[in-house]
Amino acid sequence: MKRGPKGAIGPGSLVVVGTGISLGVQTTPEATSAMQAAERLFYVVSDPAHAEWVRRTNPSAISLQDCYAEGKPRQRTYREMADRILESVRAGFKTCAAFYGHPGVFAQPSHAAIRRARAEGFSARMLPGISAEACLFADLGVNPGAGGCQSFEASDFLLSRRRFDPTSHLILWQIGMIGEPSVRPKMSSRPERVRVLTSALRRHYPARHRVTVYQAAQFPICDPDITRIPLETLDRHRLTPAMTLYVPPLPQRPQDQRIARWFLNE
Amino acid sequence: MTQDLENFLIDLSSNPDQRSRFAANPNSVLAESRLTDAERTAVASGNSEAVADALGSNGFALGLGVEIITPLRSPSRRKAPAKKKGPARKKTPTRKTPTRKKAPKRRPAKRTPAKRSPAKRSPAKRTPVKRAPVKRAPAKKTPRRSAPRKKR
Repeated sequence: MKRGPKGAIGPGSLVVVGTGISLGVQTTPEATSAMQAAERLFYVVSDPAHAEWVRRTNPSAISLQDCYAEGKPRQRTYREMADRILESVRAGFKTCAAFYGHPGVFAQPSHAAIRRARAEGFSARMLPGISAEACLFADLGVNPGAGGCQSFEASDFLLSRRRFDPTSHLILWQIGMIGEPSVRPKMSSRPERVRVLTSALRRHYPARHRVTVYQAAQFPICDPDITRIPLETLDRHRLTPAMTLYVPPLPQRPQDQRIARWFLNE
Repeated sequence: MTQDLENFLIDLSSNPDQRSRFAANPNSVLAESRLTDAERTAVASGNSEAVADALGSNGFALGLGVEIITPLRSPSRRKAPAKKKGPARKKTPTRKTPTRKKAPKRRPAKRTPAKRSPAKRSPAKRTPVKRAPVKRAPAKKTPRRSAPRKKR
């Protein structure tokens, strides 16, 4: 059964994949085969080399980068991305959308495209990818299972006055764009806003608490950017949108003895 | 040329042998490449941002998570219509002032008719005081002192 204007066969479908953070070495075999098998491949990646690598994986690849524009509301950008992905699915194409990192982490259009495709009766699924968080756990040696781990977008953390447990790991994303509605080339954090973040954290941590400013390696020849500094000096550092703040936990709180006794019994 | 840098990076990412050669001796691999001096410096730095800059990356895609903040803008939009109602509310400050005046009026009213206020307050106080001990007593004494209650 033929559908669509350009010879697309059968009902359209959607697979959303992640390419990982580091160029060409963090894409899972499952994601790679989905990208190769797609009749239409859309992509959003972090740099031109990454884009070229995607085009080599599937020559039919179409960039969604043109949906971005300086000053353009992000919500409109994301809606356009999802619209274009959905158009291909509706036209009957076996469609794949590739996003850098994990396709479901800090990526709104991927979730929107899947929701809408399913609502319209199309097959749609997401494949996991390697996220910046996965890189952070590996590079900083953080085990989220030890004491728990809380993860917030930095602006949302301040705006919504998120409650957290300082005796667990704390990860704040996008500290380089606190309170910024859109991304500008070469942008970095505003020190006065970082000071607001610092003072919010100082209610729970001492001034000299060692925090880590982290950025995963974007290329296989690069090292992760890891800078350990006292919390009080955070505003003196240039923080870019891709940077993440890791705050190690304070000493563990006293255990519940009733629960602790459970472990003593066979 | 940026394309040379793209090819160089893709070659390194897809060729493990080339990657291990680069790890062992980056200068020799860079010397064989067609990269410009600026690109070689960026690659040799091992810094992702420097390499991305050399590639001409605009960094737009890095803010994919911004949508989290966008819906939270709505409260500020809600404030806007409140301003439109401003002229109508200009009258309210005049209304507010009497309300403020009423508040102090109440205070002296409470003070001057001192007889009324204790009369009103006292029953209000008495009722909770009476109820409170009744509730507390059974809670504490139910297991042990059930007999004295009967006496009361």
